[in-house]
Amino acid sequence: MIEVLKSIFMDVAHEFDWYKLFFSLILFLVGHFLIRLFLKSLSLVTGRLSTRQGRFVFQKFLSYGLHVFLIVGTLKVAGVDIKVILGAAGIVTVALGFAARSSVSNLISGLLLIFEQPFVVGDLIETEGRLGEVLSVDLLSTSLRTIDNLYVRVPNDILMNQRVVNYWRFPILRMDMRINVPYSESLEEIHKILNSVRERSALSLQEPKALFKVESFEENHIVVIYSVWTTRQYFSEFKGQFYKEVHNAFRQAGVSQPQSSIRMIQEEIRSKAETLKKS
Amino acid sequence: MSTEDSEKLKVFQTLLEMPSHQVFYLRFGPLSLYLAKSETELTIKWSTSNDWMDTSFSYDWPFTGILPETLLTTHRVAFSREIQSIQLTPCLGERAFVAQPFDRLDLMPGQKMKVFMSTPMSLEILDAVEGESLAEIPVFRRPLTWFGESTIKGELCFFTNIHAALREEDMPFRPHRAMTHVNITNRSSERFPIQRLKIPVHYLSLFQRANGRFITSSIDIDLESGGKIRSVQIRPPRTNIKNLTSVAAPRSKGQGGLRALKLLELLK
Repeated sequence: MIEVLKSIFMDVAHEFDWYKLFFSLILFLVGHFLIRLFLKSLSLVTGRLSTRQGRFVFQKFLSYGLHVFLIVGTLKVAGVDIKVILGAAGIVTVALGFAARSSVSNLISGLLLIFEQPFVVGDLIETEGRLGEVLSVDLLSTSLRTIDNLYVRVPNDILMNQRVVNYWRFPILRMDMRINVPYSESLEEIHKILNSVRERSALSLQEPKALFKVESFEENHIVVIYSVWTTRQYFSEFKGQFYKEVHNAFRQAGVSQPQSSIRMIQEEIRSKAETLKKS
Repeated sequence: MSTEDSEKLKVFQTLLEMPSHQVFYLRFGPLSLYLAKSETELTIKWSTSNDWMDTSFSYDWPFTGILPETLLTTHRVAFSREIQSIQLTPCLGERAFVAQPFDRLDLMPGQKMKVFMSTPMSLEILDAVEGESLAEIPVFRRPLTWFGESTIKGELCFFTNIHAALREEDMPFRPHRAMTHVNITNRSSERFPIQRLKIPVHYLSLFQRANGRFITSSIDIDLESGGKIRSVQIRPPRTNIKNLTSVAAPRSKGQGGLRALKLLELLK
């Protein structure tokens, strides 16, 4: 591998004219600057024409394409015989392919993500137990900003091979709230209280209608699931706010809390002990 | 509604020449609005009772009472020039309204129905000289709802309950609500239940009658078999046009076919 590279370098170096090399370097720098300027001015135009993801993909491919032309042009000006490089490229590609297996896998996954679009830039996704906003879908990895403002870089082949939950795919979301209702409380009353909280909530939707479902009967309480809908923009703040409003409504209505078995036994023992003491 | 009330409602057709540091107070249904002007700013304060059945309407200028500051939301607009005069204009919602009748309503096959319904308006505050919109305040908090064939495909709308009156006389007068006349013709051979009706208020024009009542353009809907909508048309109000004052143009003009296609998803 090293010998191959060495012979390529000797062939290439033999062809070199240092004046041309210097000129081609200047040409490359100017070309790179002009490409960046062009892409920046293009973003002002495409900003109104397409989605954030579409603009991102378009600019990435345009940038790579223009840079390839620039490199080829620069090498030609430098007097480098492109055919020599292309000829050796086959051998180098095989060698690099084995060495960079994982990068190639990420690259292919990146292309699939870009074209399949299971999520786009700006979406809120959950992967590997982390929730974050998609900042960019690059060729090798995807960048996320978590809700606690951390930067997470996830290799693309992980995203292709693992489950990814996209919270922003559809415009509305359902929040399921699990409530433990003591047996002493009326389910109809609880349902009424929850409905009144939902009607007062500015962030919940009237339709689809909220669902009230008895899930199971436990030792000390009934498990109820109350499902209410909101828009995806409000999902994060809605959950906390709704839980708080339900808690306040339960307190105002005097709804008691379910007690654990240990606590009930402790209270029973305490009560018997007091009775014995008196007697 | 009394003649006195009708005259009061014409405040929306007049320009308010507001001297500095005087407060203008308006009660428009559930909305209580206070406006005060100085050389460099306009202060807008408001609160809403969220009681959609509130029929209050009054104004006081200059307002000499005490402002319930703790209950008010405040919005200040700064200027480099002094605002000469203000105009208050009711306007229709920026989204469609989904109107749900309190009671079940069916339309028999081959029959026509005129339904009178109302939707809550917002109040727009304009710089009367420049014609600039300074603020837009909904009369009360409008609940959101989803209207569509599934949770994936549909549209976010505002929600309102309606009486769905079949005669205009049965419509209770609420100054903050604009009345829309919807003609539905059932050209199918099946009974059609009206469970919910989406009123695309952002495509409708707003008018005010001589008696002060606000009305919108009318909507004509033709239904065919399978509960599908064959056609939808928006027309000027079915009332003597001479007695109408134009208040606001539609917010969205639409694009011919696209507008019709969106309007076709009106009934569920």
